[in-house]
Amino acid sequence: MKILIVGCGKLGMLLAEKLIEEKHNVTIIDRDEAVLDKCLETLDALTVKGSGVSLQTLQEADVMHAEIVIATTMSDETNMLCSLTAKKLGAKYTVARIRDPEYLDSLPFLTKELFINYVMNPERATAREISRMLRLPFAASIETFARGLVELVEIKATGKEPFANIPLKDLYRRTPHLPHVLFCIVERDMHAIIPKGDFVIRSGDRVFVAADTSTITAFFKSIGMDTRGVKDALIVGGSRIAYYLAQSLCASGVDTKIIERKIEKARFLSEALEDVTIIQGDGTDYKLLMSEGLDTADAFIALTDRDEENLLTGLYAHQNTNAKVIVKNTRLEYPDLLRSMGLESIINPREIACNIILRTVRARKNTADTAIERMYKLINGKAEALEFVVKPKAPFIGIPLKDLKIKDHTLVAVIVRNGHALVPFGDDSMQADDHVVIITKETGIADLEDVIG
Amino acid sequence: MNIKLVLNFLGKLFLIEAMLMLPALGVSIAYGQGDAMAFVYSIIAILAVSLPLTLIFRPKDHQMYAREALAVAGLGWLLMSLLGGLPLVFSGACSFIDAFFEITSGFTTTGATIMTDIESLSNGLHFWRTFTHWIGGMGVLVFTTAILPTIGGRGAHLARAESPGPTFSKLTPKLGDTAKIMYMIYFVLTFIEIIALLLAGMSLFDAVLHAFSTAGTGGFSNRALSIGAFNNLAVEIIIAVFMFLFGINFAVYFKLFNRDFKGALKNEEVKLYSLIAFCAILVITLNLIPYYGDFFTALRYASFQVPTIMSTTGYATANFNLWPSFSKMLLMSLMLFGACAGSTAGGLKMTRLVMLLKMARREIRRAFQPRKIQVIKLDGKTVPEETLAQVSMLFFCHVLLILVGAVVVSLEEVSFTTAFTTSLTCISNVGPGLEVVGPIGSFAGYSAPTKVFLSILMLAGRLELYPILILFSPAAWRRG
Repeated sequence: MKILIVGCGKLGMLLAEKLIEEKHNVTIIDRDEAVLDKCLETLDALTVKGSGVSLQTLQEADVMHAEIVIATTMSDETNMLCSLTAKKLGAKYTVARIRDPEYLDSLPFLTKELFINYVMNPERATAREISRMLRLPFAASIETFARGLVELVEIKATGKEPFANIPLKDLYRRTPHLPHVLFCIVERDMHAIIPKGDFVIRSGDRVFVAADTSTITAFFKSIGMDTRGVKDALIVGGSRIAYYLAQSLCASGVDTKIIERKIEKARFLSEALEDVTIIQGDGTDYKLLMSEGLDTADAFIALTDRDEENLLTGLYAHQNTNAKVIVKNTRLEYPDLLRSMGLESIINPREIACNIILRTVRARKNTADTAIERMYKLINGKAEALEFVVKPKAPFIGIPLKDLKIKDHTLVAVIVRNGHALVPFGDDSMQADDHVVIITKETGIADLEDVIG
Repeated sequence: MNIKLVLNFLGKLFLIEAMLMLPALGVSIAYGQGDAMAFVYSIIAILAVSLPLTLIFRPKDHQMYAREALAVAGLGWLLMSLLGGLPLVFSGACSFIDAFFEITSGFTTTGATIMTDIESLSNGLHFWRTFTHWIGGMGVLVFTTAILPTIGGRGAHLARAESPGPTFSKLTPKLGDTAKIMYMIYFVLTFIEIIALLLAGMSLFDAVLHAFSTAGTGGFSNRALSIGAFNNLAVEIIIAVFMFLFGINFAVYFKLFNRDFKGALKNEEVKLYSLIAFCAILVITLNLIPYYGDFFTALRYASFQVPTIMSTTGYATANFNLWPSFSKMLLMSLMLFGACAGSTAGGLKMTRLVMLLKMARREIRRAFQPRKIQVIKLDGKTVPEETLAQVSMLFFCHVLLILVGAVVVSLEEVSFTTAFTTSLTCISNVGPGLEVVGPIGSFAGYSAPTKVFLSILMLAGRLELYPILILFSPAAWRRG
């Protein structure tokens, strides 16, 4: 596929390298001649000097025939404009890195108006990954849909869960207080099964459940799987990742504390995150850490901008407390060394961002020329989770799901409307511009009309 | 320096050279002139060098950095020329040194010959001589890179070391794809020329030979009188046109093929190349009218000799050594800059002339308007100051090398004109010079050391100095 990378910083370079490894044709746009020279030396890519928002530069890079444009310049605004321009010039799919928390609320609107197909926020993705490690340590995998609103969590059933060994339709009748999630797909004996109401989950099944993020957490909590029970989290470094992480930890009821050295940053965080305790101080000072309750925290997360500080404080916390320790490390070379010292959970924002984009590209490769927004292969490709946007004039708008003819082995898993996810039941219906996630065993589906007749 | 990688790559390069000798072997078997065994021995000898190199040296790191690439280019071209001369030696056509000179002249697409009786050579050897032009025109390193999976895309430095011109510009994201497109253009143009020459009445063998020679802008012919021997106006026109075409940057053809006519026409280098060719033909025609007596004969010879010199091919339809001084001087001046970058031609390249002219204009302006900020643009794009500095430096080194070359050649007790044009024509990869080395002359009279020296000059000219200079630089060969 022809892929354009605009802005070749560290993420851009890593992406280019990985994409070239996957045999894509990569063109790199950057304003810095020296960066491009370095690219030419080490990467088999075409380079174009210029700005990613310049019509001339984009045309020179042949954006008209680009399958995917990935904007990863330093500036969010440039990335947005670049996506818009690229899309208007004929690029098929755009990915923009937008990392400023200020844009968070306007993102759904911005992405629609600016024709950005996928917004990459490395810090937010990292925060989500950390929160997953804290929240659902038992999950085998978690895929997200609809810009992170909906999660698809894979767990291995032990047979002791309340949902096991009873027909699924009886589950909510027996335990009415249980938050509503959807059992999308089950893998048993190497076969993928889309469970119906009379399906019984047994020990050894791999089960995928879908719902919005907080419902998922509540669900697992109420069936007693949230065994780690992180109640107290201590974060060192008030970076953007810390901001997003604290936000999501708070939302799931974790007592969160951030230690930040700079007074302005600390003040900003305290304004933005009302339920989070912000401490102004040096996070590498062990006395401060202890006085702020390191010994009683369930989780310690080091997220300062300096890898060395993160490692030192991380090691200190690992040796002196029982807390789950997660450290941020931006260099790819060291993880083995760190693991040997006992730090198991190391997080690299660049790697996370790169992997997410690679996954998007791979899915895009399978979904070019279709209406599919996002696609995940589940259970070794035996099933697919597909995200669509409902077109304004689709024939099934407003008709309750129970009255629609939906293909066998296919399930409408989640409907996302105005930024809220709902797990649909028979009486719910789809509306124009809804994001809909369907789970299917069929292959070759290109549009919603293919499964709903 | 990653010496293992360099040697391993050289081994693979020679393997390809051995394979490239197979068509010549086929020709010599077909004509049965008794030289087939010379090719068989040569192929065996090359394999005997190639296989141990590839099998013994297995580099851990396959990344080609600038140093390795320059060394591969320099050593590769030098040794390929040495090995490529083997068929001439084994068939008894000439001595080892002469064969080295002849095939260096072939690979560098110079076309200077040490043969005194060319027409006595067997057809197999004729084919191999002109085939080296065809191989050398586009270069073999990029070709090798394109077909070797281990090097894959990491050959950017190699491409830069081998491709003529101040910058190497890819046409597509993948180097391999760019190489494929370039070779495709090369194949197609060569094929069209073969067809055209056949239609003009040449025999198939002559047509193939001269098409190879034109395509590489080399200049070897199987006739002593070069193209003049055919005395066929149609052939002259076809070859003149194709020499001109092969002197144009191949990226322009790629743009034409992609229907990007605007981009193709915007190319300043090609514009200047065409303008200079047109003006040179015009003034030389006028200058030749008294010599030939009528306008059309003058035009006929001028319009062949100008593209042959500018594209650095070096064919001749007239003995321009006898022409008026003005025409001779003009032709020799055209040699210095040659044709476009990104073509198969030699010389300093038109794009450098464009940049140097713009730099000259800038410095003159600066004299009376010192505070004016001036950037130099080429085809609408700003040229980095670094590139401009490199161009000025290369220009200086190139001219210096021509002077040094002329001084060394003058040890042979030849006239000033002969010594100077010998050096100029070798470095510019043209072929003929004036007087002793003129269009009907030969380099046979030079002593063996001079022939080796001239071979190195040709390689330095073809590879634009650095790959050859690195061979003499101890610092580059140190570890680390």
